[in-house]
This record gives sequence, C-alpha cells and structure tokens, in this order.
Amino acid sequence: MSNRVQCVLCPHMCLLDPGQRGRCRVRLNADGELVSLVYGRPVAVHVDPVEKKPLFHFLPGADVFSIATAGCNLRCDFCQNWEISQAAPEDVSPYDLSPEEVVASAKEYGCQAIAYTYTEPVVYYEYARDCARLAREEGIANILVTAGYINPGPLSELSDYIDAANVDLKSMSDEYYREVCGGTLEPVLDTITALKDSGTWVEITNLVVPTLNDDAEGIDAVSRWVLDNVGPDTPLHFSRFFPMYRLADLAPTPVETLEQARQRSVDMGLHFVYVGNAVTPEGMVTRCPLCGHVLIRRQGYQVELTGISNGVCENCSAPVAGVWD
Amino acid sequence: MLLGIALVIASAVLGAGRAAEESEPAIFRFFREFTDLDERSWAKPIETVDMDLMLELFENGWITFHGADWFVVREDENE
Repeated sequence: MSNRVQCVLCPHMCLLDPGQRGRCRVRLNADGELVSLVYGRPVAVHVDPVEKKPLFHFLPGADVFSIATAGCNLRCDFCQNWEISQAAPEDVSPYDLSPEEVVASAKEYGCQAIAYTYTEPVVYYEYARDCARLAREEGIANILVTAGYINPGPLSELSDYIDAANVDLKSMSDEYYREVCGGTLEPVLDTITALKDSGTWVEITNLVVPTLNDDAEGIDAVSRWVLDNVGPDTPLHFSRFFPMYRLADLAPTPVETLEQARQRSVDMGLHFVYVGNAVTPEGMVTRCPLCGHVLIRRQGYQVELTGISNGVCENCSAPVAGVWD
Repeated sequence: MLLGIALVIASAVLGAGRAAEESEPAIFRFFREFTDLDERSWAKPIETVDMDLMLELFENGWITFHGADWFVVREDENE
C-alpha cells in the first residue's frame, strides 16, 4: 500500500506521496490522508470596505471582515500579496481563529459580510467553507475573492454559501496563465460561468500589466468574453499594476492605458467598467446604463449614492444590476 | 555522449533507490518522478516537507492537521 493521495480540489490535481504537499504548499499527505495545514490559522485579518475587494455592486459602503491564510495554487509574477500567498505556513505567523470566532468577530465589528481574500481561498477551502456556512446561519454574507482555479465539484459545494465573488480574469491567453501565473485559463472561465449560474453576484478584475497583457487586442478579448458569457451587467474592473514580487523592475501601468481599456469596454457594450488603483474621472463612477444618470460616486473607499434608491435609477427608474441592501 | 547520459541516469536511479527505502523499484520511481517533473513544469513544484518540523509546528499550534476534503487515495502506483 503506497499511501499516495491525489488532491482533486484544483486543476493541478497534485499526486502526493506521504510527506509531500501540493503546489499550494498548505495541503499535505500525512500518512495517506490529505490534511490542511492552515485550518483556523489565518495570517491576515482585517476589516475592509467592500469596495476594496473590489465589489462595487454589492452592499456598497459595507464593512467586510476579511481573512486569509498562507498559500496559493498559482504563482503570479506580479502577485500583490506574495509575502503571504507564496509563503509556506511555517514561514508566516498565524492567528488562531476558529470559524466560530471568525463569525463572532465579524458580528462584533458590525460587518455585513466576511471575505475570503488576499491570498487564495481555494487552498483553505475547508476553513472558508465552514466559516461561510456559519456566517450564513447568522445572516452574514460571504464574499469570495479568487483567481478561480478550482475544480467544478468543490466549487459547487462552496458556492452554496457564497453571496458575491470577485474573480480575477488575468488574461484570455492560456500561455499567459502558464508562463506568468503557473495555471491554465479554461478552469478560470468555467469558474466564472459556474458562479454566475449559481446565482452568486460576480464581478471580474483584470490586472493590466505593462508589456505583458496591456495590448488592445488582449484587453478586448477579456471584455468580449465577459460580454458574451456573463453579460453586459457584470462589472469589470481594470486594475493598475504596481511593481511587485518578480516584476519589481516593471513600471506601474500608465493611467492612460487603463482609461483606454475602460473606454474600449464601454464602447463594446459593457455597462459597468471601472478603473482600480488609479484616479480617473469616470473610473469609479457608476452610471445608469439606460439614461446615463450618475448613480454612485466613489473617492478612495468613500461611497456616495447620489442617484440610486432601492436598486433603481432615481432619474429613469431603470433597475440597476447588483445587490444593494 | 551516450555513455555520459547512461551514467547520469544510472546515478540518478541508484540515488533514488537509496533515498526511497520503499518497496517501489528505484527504476520505476525515477521514471515516475521524471515524468512528474515534466508534467507541469510551468507550475509551482510539489515539495517534500520535513515531517519532524511539521509535527513540532503542529504540537505548538502553528499549523493544523485538519482533515481535508476532495482527495482520493491512489492504490495503484501507475495511476
């Protein structure tokens, strides 16, 4: 008997001998049983505005109890949280926080939702799921901030408890996913459509990295896929890259590139396209797709609902896609 | 050239055989590991951990050995 196990949580499908851990670095074959090294051991615990996830059409202005453990199943060269996402659990000092304590803390801080974020919640699957299940029972919403690199079965089980998700769509190039991120594209696309089909509120983030995925063709391909597969009402966030991790020598994304990406997507037919990590005139404004009336203005993480009430435009009464209360 | 390659493979096989101390023949292990390495060379590697360190960290509460879901046992070495 070999005691070999295969983790089937994510598309890597790591085949592990005893004493080996998966590519995520947090799931270990311990004598023929797969164990999580990080259950109840978050390394980041914060209260954030929901806009930071970013989610712009889900409970605007809400405080969100946000947690992450060490580990990630990808290895993006541009990772903005690489100190914890690429770390092994033995290298990062953890908190001891059970799912019950996570939910109690969220309530104590007046948070309307719990976000599984910063690193990759897929790799702390059991912890996120148990927190989410308890949170649901307590009337607290659950937010998944993910790269979407997960197999359909586990995703289906988890999505039962997830109210909103922001999924990274890093590129429409499989080669980019392999070379820059250490993953593949197709499972990510499947995750986005599966979450949408499950009734989860979905927003998408595309980090625009100079010279790697900032060409107009590539950006158009992302926008086209969103439009054709999850619809024009799905918010798309073009996020600004800052030098980090293995791309520390690369310059930040020019703001003009982000503005142009936004405008091209709007012209293509997407209703809600935003710019993140940069200040642009329209990048954080939500307009009614029907009449153009300004619905929501944002400055930093300050939110001003100027033209929307009960999820409809105050000017023309058109319903606005999102979860508003 | 061919002799050199053969020596490299032979030394790797013998090395693997010493390290494994398992019932699996060294030659099979070598080729399986060789194949594993090639399979997802673009992804992060699978690591072998220091189990003594893991147990020490577990006893200190730094890490957990919480039963995970979504795995299957592979009885067949060739799977």
